[in-house]
Amino acid sequence: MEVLYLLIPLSLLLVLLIACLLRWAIRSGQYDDLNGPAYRIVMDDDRPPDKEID
Amino acid sequence: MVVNYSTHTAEVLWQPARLPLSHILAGIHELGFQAWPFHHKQKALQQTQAKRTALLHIGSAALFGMQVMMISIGLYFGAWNMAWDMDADMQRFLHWVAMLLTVPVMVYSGQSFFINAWRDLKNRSLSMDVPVVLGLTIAFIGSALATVSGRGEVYFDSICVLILLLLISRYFEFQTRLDANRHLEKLYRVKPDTANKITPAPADQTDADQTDANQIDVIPAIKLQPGDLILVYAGEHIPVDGVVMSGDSAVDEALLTGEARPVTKKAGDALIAGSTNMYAPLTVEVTAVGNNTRLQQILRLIEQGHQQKPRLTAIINRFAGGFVMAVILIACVTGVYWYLHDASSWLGVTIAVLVVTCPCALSLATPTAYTAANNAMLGRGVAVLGQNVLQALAAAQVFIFDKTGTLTTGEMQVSGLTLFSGLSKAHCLKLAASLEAKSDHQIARAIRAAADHGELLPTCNLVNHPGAGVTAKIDQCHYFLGSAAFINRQTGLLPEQDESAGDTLDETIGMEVFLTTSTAVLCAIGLEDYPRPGVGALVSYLNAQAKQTILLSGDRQRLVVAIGDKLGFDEAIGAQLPEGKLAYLQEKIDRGDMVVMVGDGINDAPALAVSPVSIAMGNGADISKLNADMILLNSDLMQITEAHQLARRFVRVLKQNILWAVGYNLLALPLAIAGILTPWLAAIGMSVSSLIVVLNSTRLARLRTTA
Repeated sequence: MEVLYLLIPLSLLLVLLIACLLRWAIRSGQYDDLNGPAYRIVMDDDRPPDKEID
Repeated sequence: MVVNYSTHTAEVLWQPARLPLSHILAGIHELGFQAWPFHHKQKALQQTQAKRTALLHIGSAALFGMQVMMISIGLYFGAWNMAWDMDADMQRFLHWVAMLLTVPVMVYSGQSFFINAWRDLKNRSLSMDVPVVLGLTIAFIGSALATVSGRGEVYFDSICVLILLLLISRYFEFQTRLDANRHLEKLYRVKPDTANKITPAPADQTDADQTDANQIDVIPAIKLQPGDLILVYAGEHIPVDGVVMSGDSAVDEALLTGEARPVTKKAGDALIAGSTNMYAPLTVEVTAVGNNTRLQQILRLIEQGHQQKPRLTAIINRFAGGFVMAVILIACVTGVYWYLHDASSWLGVTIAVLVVTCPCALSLATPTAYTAANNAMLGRGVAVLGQNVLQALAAAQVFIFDKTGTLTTGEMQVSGLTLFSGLSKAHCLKLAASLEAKSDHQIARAIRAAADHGELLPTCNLVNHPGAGVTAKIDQCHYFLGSAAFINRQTGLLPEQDESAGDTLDETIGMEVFLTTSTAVLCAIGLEDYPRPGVGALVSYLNAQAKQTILLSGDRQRLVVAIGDKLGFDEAIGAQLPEGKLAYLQEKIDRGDMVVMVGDGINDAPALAVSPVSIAMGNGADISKLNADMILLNSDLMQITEAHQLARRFVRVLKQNILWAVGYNLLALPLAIAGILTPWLAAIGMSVSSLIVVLNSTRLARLRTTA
């Protein structure tokens, strides 16, 4: 069981790494809108820029 | 200074000369809060930030907490399974690792609890965070000592579970509040910042090519004055209240009224700020700007309503302070008792007592339900302006309705045509419409609407007799249009009618005007003030609920009774002046009935003010002067059914919440004192009970009845 003395500190490093990843993911706004991106594919972008009709 | 808890805003009135704003902000900061001058965009930014931080706290608590729990399982396994003898070194190593992992959970994820508790202690008040922090601190210090000394129990897993679950329930509460504000936020956001102002062409230019000659400037919307002309293109928001001068289009007012279908607008129709022009450009004359627009008035009323604290919440908050004190005392006594009797388990029991009895669920029970219910109401076009209205509405027994403008649209419509000559119906209507072409009276509009196909005939010598009728010449022939009495005076054609003889069915429904030449009666046109759609359904719904429905009106008794019978009212009382309505209402209230008064808000203002629950139509004159508790923004009476159902559901949820919160605490406390509840069980129980309360409240916002 002595291997635990090595494996647990290693897992701690892994946890730290994952924590940093999570921090990056949240900070970059990936969790701000969980519903919107699903609709992005149906949003057409081909509308001409809003020039008013006189 | 007024603080709005659910929108997290405070309204401050100050004299800039004597006290700069920065001092106020600094003072608020000293109390332990952060304050910014209000701005909706900044607020949205803050909310995004707050949400991200909350997610990060939850995420790290979950991540580190999982590791701690995994290690705890190892420890438990070692303690139970005697076959595999965990040596003391390994056990100490695992304790140290668990402690190391708990530190970020405590310090980072749990920081908000410590900050809140510290702020409350500094202000000498006891909130629900205090026992939580006390429990966390005791548990951590006790476990840390055990880790260092190598003797005793550790509770790192319980700490992590408690922080994680509490954070989750707070996050849900935060989310509910955001949802509740989202509708309001939308209203704030729509106002466009600019408008296309039309400066009329100089007078010497010809009328041809008017639009080209007019100069159009894009100016900030706040610079508009009533009376200005603006051009609103299709797809644009309308920045101000106004009247359409020219153009035909439809306008989406869904934001304000909840009505999804666009409303057609033509010259002469009123527009409200915040609605969207759908199809074609409109030229609009500005009638109200800035704070005087309907949108702003409604927003102000709603905000004022939110500032009023629900009675129940105030009671519970006062109670919660004493409760926390009691919890801490009980925890102390329990701790001392167990320390004397069973020194090994005193720490665990004390932590369990502190954690399990925290009145979190109780504190969340009412505010979450209120915000969810108010939000659901607003989404259906019902603005709730008082905080204690919903309970009253749910308990209401008597519903009193005004007639004109409330049950009926207040707009006349042609209901029947009786011919007395060889002329066709269409021709009669065309003649009548031509006579009324220049008039803006309700009757004139109704007749014009009925004859809306075909060109009107040219008239000359048009004479309008206000309140009686019109006369004019068409094709060299003299025509008369007006009431029977008017025709009689003018032509002597219709015999003098005595009032009682006019008791025909037609007369009880509406009124009749006659079209005649100077020698012959051509036709009689029946006009009716139609009930709003949904009145019948509303009354039958209320009757099915065994509510008393009363029609109270200023119109003639006979008319009111007829309409009351037709629509199925229990009682119909006519010929009531505003004072009479007030006295009638007061009598009902004195008898102890829970009364709901529904009126259009103009002539019913006194009655609306007296009634425990008053519902006003949103199209009433000046909504800021309505003394109503609720406003039907789209004037759809069917919303009353929904509001009533929602209010009853709200009361049910409120009862469930309070019952659950109180029952849970009463049940868990003896168990914890007796030492049956372990700290981790207590942590789960307490946070899950808050979670249940919050989720139960969100049911109110989610449930959508078929509209």
